[in-house]
Amino acid sequence: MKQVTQALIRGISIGYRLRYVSLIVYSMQLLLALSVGMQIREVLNASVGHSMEIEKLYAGYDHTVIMDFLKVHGASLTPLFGQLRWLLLVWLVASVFLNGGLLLCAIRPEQASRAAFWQFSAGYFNRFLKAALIFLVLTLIWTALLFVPLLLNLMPMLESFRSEKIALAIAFLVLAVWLTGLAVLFIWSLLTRIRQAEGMRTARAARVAWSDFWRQKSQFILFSLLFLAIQLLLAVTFLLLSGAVGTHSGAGIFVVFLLQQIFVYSRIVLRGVMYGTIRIIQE
Amino acid sequence: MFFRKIIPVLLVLITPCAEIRLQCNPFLPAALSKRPANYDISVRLDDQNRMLQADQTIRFVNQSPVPVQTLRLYLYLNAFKNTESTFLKGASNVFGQKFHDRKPEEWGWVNIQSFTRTGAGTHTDLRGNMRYVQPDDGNPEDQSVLEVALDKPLLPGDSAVFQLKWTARIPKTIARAGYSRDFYLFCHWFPQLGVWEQDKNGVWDWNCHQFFRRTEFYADFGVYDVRITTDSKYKMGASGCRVSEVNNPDGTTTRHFHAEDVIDFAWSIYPYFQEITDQWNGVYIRLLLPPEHSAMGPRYLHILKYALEYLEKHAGKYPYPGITVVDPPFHGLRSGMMEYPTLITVGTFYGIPSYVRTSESLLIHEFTHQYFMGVLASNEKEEPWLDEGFTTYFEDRILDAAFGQKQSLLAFPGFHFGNREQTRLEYTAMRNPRDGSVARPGWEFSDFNFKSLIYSKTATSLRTLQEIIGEEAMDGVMRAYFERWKFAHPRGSDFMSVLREELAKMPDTALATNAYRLFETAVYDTKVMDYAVSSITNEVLPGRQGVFGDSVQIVADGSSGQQRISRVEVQRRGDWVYPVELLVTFEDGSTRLEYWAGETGVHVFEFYNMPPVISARLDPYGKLGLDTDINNNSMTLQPASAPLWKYALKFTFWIQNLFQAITFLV
Repeated sequence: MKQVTQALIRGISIGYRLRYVSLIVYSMQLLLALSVGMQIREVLNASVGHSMEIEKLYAGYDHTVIMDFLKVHGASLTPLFGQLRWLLLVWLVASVFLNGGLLLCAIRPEQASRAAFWQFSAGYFNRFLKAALIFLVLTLIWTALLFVPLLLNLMPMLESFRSEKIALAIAFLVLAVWLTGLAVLFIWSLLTRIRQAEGMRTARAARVAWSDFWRQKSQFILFSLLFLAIQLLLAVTFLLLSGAVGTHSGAGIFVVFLLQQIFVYSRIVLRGVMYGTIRIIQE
Repeated sequence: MFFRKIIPVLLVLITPCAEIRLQCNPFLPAALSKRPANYDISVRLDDQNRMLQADQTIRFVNQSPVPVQTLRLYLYLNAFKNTESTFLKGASNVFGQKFHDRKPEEWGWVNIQSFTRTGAGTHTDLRGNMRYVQPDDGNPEDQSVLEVALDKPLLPGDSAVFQLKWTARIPKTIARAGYSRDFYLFCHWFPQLGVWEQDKNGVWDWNCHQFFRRTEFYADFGVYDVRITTDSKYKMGASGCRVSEVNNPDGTTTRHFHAEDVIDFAWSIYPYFQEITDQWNGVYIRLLLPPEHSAMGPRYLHILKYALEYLEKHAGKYPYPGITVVDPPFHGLRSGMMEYPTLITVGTFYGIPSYVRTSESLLIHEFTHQYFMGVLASNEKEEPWLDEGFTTYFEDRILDAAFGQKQSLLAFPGFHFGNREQTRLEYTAMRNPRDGSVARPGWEFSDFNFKSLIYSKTATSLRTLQEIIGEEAMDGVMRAYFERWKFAHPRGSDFMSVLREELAKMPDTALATNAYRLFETAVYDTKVMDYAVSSITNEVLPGRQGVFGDSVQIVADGSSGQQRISRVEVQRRGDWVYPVELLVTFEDGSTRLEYWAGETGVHVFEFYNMPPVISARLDPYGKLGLDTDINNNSMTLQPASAPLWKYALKFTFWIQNLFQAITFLV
């Protein structure tokens, strides 16, 4: 625990040093997200922008306003959701590039700079893309392995057990196992890229990374839990703050937007912290 | 009357071996209905073989002015006998449940072994006079209606007693009836008479339709005295009140239930039921819950008492001595969410949080059916809107009153909506709201429109009517309808008559006429209502210009006497014509309420030399819930852009988080 905490403290210091690099990742992500978000605003404006009912949305969610809008104008949003699917694919590739730069900056903090970020991103893109594809496939397999049987058997389970509590407990157990598996895959993927950055080929890097993970599995899992707790703390803080501010006025909406963006940016900084911490634990 | 009250006490005294557990007194001081159809049933459940063995007595009183030559009875369990019954034919599932590939013992049926008419020492065997009839679709495979030709006519005013012996196989749960593991719901389980009544042409005949997938039930009032023997391990809930309970030497228990002035009798058993009892204003309340749903007990009790009080205040007094609520275990949920006289089934899931009120909503709905089905025993088969629509209307009212509008069904922080909103949307969000009228027999509806039209459009129409005439007047209509037709079989036309009479008492006759027409259109027509404010313009016209008079003389160049004109264009986009109000707001804050008959497709309101119009709102007091798009009812030239930004930025935020979530591995 002490070692992990010390590593985390050092990781936080690395994350702080990467704040400008994180800002680059954040900006790219915001721009892409805005490309859909602003279109949604245009659709809202063109369809119900002059309706007085919209004022009800100041007070919060209004089911009638939203559902009447979706019923009459929902078709206008359909292409945007189609566009979002493609945008996710674009972001997936872009994030291999951007996260690669962030990772290299985190594991070589002495070289970290905005210029180095771009160089690292470009230099390791191909290798990291291969690793990303492998781990995405592994994730899909892992997900299918757990959820296909669960979904196929959920209704029969609900109907055959005396109480739905048993089926519910099984579903939660599967969920917990799945999340644990995801955490393992995440750390393994990260360690693989760290090994790739040291010059290993993808397959060998993956094998060595697995050994790295297995050797220090308790520390990595402990760190994962700690990291999860930090993320939850961040999310709760955000929800409490945004709830306290409220979106009942233009100023409130602006402040909540700022809080949202701080939350998103913080998550990117935390990613840098995580990269740095895992590297330290690995060492 | 005295004896009715004293019977339960006497039972205690004369049956020393019996353990009497009196729940409530089922013997009413006076008959509330005409009681034409009365049943004494003694039934034994063979748990191993899922079979019922019963001796049944039917006492039928011919209260019509014509002789009765035949009987017609429902044998509902035969609807689950095979895939060729009218109920199952052509269907791949029933309410989402697949029923093909059942084992032989999982199908259900009822077989009458003897049918005898008894009286004055005579016993006439009528078994040879029995035949299955298919009055609705002629399907020879359907055995859901049995006709029995009488040996001699039953004359007006006379009564007859019929003794039946029958056996039934209990199906694996289908359309509520049957078993799931060791949970049973026995509904529409015994041979039951149809209703001997005048048809629309005034001819006396049996109203006894076959069992269709989208129809419910229709039977006559009477007294039910039922003795049920099951394995002693079971706990039981049933219609009426339990009069006695006897543990038999063979490990079974016989429970005796009695119910008066009801149209049906249902019962349910499960070994693990937890019982919670309470009372409200003399009404005995009994909840039967599986252990995992015990946390729902206080919630159910609270909302049931609330509903009792609300309905008593706004519709009429609950006339029965008790109400039993059965919450099936989740594996038996297909038996849930149904109404039977003085017994309802609900449905929930373990751990459902208090801000999700679907279980409360279900309970209110099924309980309200005690009024609109149980007491006002309309024909659920031919006019389902009279029970489902009215029940949904009160369900909306009760839930909104109990938990607050716009949060009565779901109250998550930041995401909430009300029962009434949801009801309206179920109708207005239909792909085709013109998809037939509401006032049709249940079997004419499809999977896609029956709930939207029967339940939701009727309820929204009643709510719109309430908004137009006011809650007090609406309560007056409902109370008058209840008082006039309780313990009878009202038709749609009967409600319309009550409505017309009650509206005639209103001082504003034009409003009353419009309100009546609105409801009539809602129920009997397919028209769609959609009003919209389509434009607002403000112009300054130049003053007088041009040549005036005989001589060539310019009298004005437009520089003086400028005229301001504002126009508000409104449209009727649907084919439903109803007069609407228009509230116009001017730049100086003043307002003007205009009136539009709505007869033309477009109308332009013009305002001369007034401050510029900044906004206009049709139906400003939100009375017309039937309007399919509320958002286009208003327009402003000073739109509030912040909410649009709020949602655009919220989307952006969600997308950013989605980006981060899906790329956690790369």
